[in-house]
Amino acid sequence: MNALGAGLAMLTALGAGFGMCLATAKAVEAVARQPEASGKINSILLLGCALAESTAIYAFVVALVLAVK
Amino acid sequence: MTQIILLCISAVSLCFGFIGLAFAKSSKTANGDDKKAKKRKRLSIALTLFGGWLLIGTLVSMFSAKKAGLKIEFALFSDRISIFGFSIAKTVVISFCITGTVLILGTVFRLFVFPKFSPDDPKGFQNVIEIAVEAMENFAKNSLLDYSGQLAPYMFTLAVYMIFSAFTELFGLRAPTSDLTSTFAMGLITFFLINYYGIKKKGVAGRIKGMAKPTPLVFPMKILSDVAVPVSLACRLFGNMLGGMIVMDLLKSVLGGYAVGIPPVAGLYFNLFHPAIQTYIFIILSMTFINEAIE
Amino acid sequence: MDFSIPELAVDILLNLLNIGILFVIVKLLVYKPVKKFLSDRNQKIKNEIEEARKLQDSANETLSKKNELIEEGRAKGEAAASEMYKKAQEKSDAIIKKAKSDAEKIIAKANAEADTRKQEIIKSSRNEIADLSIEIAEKILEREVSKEDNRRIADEFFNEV
Repeated sequence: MNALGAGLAMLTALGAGFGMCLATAKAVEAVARQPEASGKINSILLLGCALAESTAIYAFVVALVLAVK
Repeated sequence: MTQIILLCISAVSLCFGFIGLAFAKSSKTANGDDKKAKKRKRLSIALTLFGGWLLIGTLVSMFSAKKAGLKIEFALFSDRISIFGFSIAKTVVISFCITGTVLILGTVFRLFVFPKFSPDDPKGFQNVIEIAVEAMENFAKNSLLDYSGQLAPYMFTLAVYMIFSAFTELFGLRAPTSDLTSTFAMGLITFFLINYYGIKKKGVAGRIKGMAKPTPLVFPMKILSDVAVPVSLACRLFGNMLGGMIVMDLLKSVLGGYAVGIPPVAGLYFNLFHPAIQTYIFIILSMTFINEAIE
Repeated sequence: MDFSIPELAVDILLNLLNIGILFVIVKLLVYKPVKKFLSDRNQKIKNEIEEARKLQDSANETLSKKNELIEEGRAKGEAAASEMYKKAQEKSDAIIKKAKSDAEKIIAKANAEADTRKQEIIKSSRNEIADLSIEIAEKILEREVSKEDNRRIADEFFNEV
């Protein structure tokens, strides 16, 4: 039952992945439109990805807590 | 039985690879079909590598008790050992070892390497450390404004700590950053710094006023998000590091005796690149939060 | 999962302590020396740029001075050349004048000589002609004619001529 809960918790990765894909798509568009601002866009993208990823990381931690008895 | 078959396969592929390599070497002078020769050479190199890997892996799995299989054993918190009657986590000991290593390295650098630095044309190691320090200075200057002089060394220390703890994973130890206590300590320091500099810049009243900025209604939420900062920082770093470690452990346990040559290549990402990115993110996030507090 | 909260708290405290020690070590042994090194170099580069600027300024000054000197020299040279030219002109004028006057003198002298020669020749030819005419007249007239008479007649004739 614990393993099932951990697996369900990892479904959060879906949302994190989707959010990161949106952010990356927008960043690619921005770089294509303004290649000279790529440095700034890159750092912002990295920050945003880290923030979007954090939900998946929380889920991962929760899954670990559930899975490790 | 299967092992003998695998040995035969590996021997055959090794033989073919060596023959191909020798052929490529001998026919180097007569460069007839350039593309074809290149293709043959690449194929023979791949065959040699595959044969060598299979041979060594089979031999190792024949003579060692390690069996390939999906079984990972890890604990959320690290194992504990007792020193002088105190029970201390292993990662804490490792992080103290990191401090000792940094102390020794720093003393050696300070005494023997820095005086040799040429003031005019930096090269080699000097370049690396100069670029690191300069990049940190620039980072700090952009987001920490007046306090960059005080906070840049701390951020540099964090980077050193995280990168060294990523290196400990290469020695087969559990990295301190993949233990929640260590990352939570770093998060707590960041939380303390945010409040300290926020209050230093604006005063206690100003800080509380800044929290209730659009409407007083958001005050509890702001408090909550402020409290969540160290937790989120700690959990992010911990999760990422532990994830990398688990993936590497999985890879090693799945390969069993064949864990030759493949884990190091994967480790380039999971043990070097990934921690570096996480270090960058941790530092950038800390700076952003502090910047938010002092602006 | 077996853990106790006090142990974890001790771990966190130890980690905090560790990071503090590491901070002091890194700051004192690595960060500060390198930063000082960098700032020294920055200062040095700044100084060098300043020095180079100064040097350039002085070089520009000397260059302009040199240019001025050259201009001056050229002007002087031009003046001297024009003076020399003038002098030479004067000299040549004088020489030409002298030569002209000399030539005139020579011409005058020659003219005078020629005149006297002419006069002489005329005189001598007149005498000869007079003698010849007298002889001719003697021969034609076959009579003696006094020389004085004849001479008078011849002189009159020549004077008419």
